[in-house]
Amino acid sequence: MSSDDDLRRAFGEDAARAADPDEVWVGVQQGVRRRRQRRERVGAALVLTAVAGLAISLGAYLGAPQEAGPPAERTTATASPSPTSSTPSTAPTPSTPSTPPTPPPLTDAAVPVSPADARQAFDDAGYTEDDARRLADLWRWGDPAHVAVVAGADLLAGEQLPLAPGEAAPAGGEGGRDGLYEELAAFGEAGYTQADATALAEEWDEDEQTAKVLVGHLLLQGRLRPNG
Amino acid sequence: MTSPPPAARVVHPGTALPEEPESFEVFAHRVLPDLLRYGTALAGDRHVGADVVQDVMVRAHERWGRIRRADRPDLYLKRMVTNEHLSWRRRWHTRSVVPTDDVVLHARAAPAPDAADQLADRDDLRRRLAELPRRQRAVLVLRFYEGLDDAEIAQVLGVAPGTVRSSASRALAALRREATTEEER
Repeated sequence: MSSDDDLRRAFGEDAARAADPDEVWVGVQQGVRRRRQRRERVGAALVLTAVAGLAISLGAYLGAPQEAGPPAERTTATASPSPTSSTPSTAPTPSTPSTPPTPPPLTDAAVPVSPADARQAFDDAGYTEDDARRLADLWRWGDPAHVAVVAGADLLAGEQLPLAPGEAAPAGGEGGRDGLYEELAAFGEAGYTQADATALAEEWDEDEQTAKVLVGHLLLQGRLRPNG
Repeated sequence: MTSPPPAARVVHPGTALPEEPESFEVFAHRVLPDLLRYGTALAGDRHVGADVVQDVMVRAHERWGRIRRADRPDLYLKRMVTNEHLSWRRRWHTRSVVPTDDVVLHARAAPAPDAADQLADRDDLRRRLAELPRRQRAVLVLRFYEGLDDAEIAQVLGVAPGTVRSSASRALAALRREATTEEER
């Protein structure tokens, strides 16, 4: 039997074994320095990406035939290439870049669900780490932590998962997937880059792959649009 | 942990004392010892406690502009430590770490005979506490170590006070059940 005093004493004894604050403070300072350096690297990568994007856009603009019409018309045609357009001069020119337009930078504020939100939803629904492993087997993806994030995003969107908490995977492989490659592809196809993933992962304090997988999944769900 | 006495400053009559925001370094030195003790009680392990607190302090440094505007930045940090300890990410991160049971360590250390029973009881309680789900242990730490009431615990954990009560009740029942099982052996 444990009295309240026993519990107070036990926790007090644990607390008395705490590490030396000065030693931990050294670790904090090192961590702050590492983060600062990482942020500077990310910043430099973002600047490079922006410059490269600008150069591509400028190259495309300068390479476009001058007889394609006034700039306002050309912009309209590029933004929404309508096959029903009756004005030949507003048709998209062959020099239109095939790469997707550079979307605005990914930030926590721009993404409706964070990995922490998604994991919390997974947790709150009664799913455990074992469930995440079973789901990872069903979805053929090596990292159950990524699977938990994607599954949590599904739950937040009101979707059902192929297995209930504590339940074995369906025998017929129903609800199975072939990895989370669609998510990774969606991330790239939206125009996001490694620098975007790094910046968002930094903001979320997660790994880059988690950021890519979740953003890709939200893009596939239609809950995130790269250009608003 | 008591706050350091404010530095003496000359204030001229009719002049409002300018608000000097506390720097992160001063704040960190003030709260770190208390936060480490709390983190260690929460984790039941010196190294895990230090690791959690260090991670939180690094993140707090980045968000210091926002945190220092909170009513109680120290409580804000305590909440961050609690959430970090309970977070899914950290559970995944530390799931492979299996600390050596204190009972095993004491068996190796061969305690003095007259203190053996007392030590065994304490180790037994510590082992039972270590087997509680993290959230239940957190409720007990906040109640018995921090001395918070259910409403305050609910705020720290971001749950309803009813959830705090049921968690505490389940945790205490599990401890009693375990103790009974041990006595029957």
